[in-house]
Amino acid sequence: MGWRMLSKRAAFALGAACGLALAFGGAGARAADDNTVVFSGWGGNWQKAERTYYFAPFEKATGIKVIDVPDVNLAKIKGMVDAHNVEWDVVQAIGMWIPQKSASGDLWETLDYGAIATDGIPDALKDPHGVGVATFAQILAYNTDAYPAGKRPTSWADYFDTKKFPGKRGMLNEPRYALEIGLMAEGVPMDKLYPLDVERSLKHWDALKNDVLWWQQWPQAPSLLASGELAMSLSSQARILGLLNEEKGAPVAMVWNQGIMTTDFLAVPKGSKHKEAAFKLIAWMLDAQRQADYAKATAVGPSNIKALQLVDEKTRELLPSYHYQKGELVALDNAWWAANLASLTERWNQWKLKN
Amino acid sequence: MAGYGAGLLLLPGFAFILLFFLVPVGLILAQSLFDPAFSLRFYERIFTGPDYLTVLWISLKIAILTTAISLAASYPVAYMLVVARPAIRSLMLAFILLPFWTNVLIRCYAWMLVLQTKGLVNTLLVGWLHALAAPAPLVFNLTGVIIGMVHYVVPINILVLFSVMKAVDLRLVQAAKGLGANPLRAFLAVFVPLTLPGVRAASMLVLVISLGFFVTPALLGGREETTIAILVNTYFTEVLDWGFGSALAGLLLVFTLAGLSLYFAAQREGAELAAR
Repeated sequence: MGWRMLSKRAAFALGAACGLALAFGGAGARAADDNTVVFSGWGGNWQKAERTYYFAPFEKATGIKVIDVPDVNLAKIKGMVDAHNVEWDVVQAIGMWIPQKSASGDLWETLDYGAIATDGIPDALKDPHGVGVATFAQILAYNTDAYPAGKRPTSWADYFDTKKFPGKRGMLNEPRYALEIGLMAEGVPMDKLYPLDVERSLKHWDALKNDVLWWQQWPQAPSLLASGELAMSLSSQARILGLLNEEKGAPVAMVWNQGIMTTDFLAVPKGSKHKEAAFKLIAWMLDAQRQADYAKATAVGPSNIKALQLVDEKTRELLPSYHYQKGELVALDNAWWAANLASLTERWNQWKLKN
Repeated sequence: MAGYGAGLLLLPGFAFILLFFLVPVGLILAQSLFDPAFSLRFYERIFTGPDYLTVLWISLKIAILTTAISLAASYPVAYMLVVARPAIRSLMLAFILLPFWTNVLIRCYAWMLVLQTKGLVNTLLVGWLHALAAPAPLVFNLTGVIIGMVHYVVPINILVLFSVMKAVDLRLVQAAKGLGANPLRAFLAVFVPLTLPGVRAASMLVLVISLGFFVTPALLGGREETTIAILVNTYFTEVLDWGFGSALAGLLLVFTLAGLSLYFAAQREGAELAAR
């Protein structure tokens, strides 16, 4: 008898839920117009901090509700845009996505810079379809137990020098960054990197490629460095700082010199249902003071150069934008990568699988 | 009439598979054939381009190795489950299901810790037992991928085998022994043949899962463990070339279906030979 009751109740609940969904699905979306905005980001601690430092005060000040969802993904965005059913209004996109094209047409709305104040945002980070919001640095990191003080690596040339610096190397299993790194190790100056000389870089990698641990996911590198499995690896500044924050005294350090700076952009997928609210949220997230507060909490770099003046010196030392201004980092060329990604993916796999 | 009734019972299941499986798969395959007019351009690229067939071979190799090793590991465990006392059986099932319910990413990261140069296994073998002079390369290569994959599919394999073995009438094995067969012969000549449908079902399931799996090869593999599933993921989410991604997925599907039909044909022939 018990299960009969239960199944009847379940059937009723299911029916009611379907009915409600039908009744409110259409109307609800319309009624919510401009009073909600859906933000899609990378999840984890960074997005938790975005809720605290951006979304919560935004909701309070404007009355617009921000629904934030994790796992932003370009394939999903293309799917939504192609199906004319766009559920995300603001996305945190890696820089390369902004100039990327889909076979079926444009992915992004054109931003209305009349409605979005960009005071303090460098021109290079203002694209018609996206505006920079956060900066990251992909850097050389190493295990401090592997190299005694005074004998520590300081450049990508050292990464390739296995005689002077023995120990296992790690690298992201992708052409991005590896190609830049090969050229920098050969001595190509940072301002002459692009357009990348792909074959020259691959040739430089040939000698090392069999001895590299080619990892696939960013969280792998910090833990492999901390355990001593890797002596040196590419990693990201924010992840290394995150590790040092969580595990005090972890034997890991990083090198700013010749790091590659990447920028996350805010963009609005084409066909967004809450465009105006989206522009308001974007403008909100570009503010220097808010970016400074966010940077203090996360060590994610601001895009607004004025934010650098609003943080204490100790925090500034940790931020990619600061080191970029000092000339230690090179900015990833998003347009070049977007234009060459397809052919390079093929070339990369071919090179990688060849013994 | 009764036949029609039974057929009707299949209708909801069939409709579900049609709507949520066959139609989406069809749509994906259509993307690989229309660009937007009909074209075999994407498939041509697979066969003329560099190394896509190598990647297909790597994928098949990983899947076949995983299937074979996991079958060898699962069969005795499933048999133990059948003959064990109920209390022991429950305990065994709990230990089999525990990893099954653990997130695959967590399992991969755990395997990295266990298998790496300074991991548990190598510390034990090199540092304590002095069985090896230097740490063995157990992860970020084919070995690591196979260990991770086998670990992932073994619970599925065991459960399918167990469900079939449970239905085998153990009195037949007794009868064989009564007629003078030694235990090994009774097991091999009576029990094993009766479980072959389960072996077939489990292997099929495991092979198909292994072919489409990409997290484990991506995390526990090295430079050479690039599978079709990894490429499909790259072309869909990064390069945004869904036409080519779909063609790679289509290729994998065709090879899987071809392999399965060969397998079935061989099985049927074997059964006919045995019946003669």
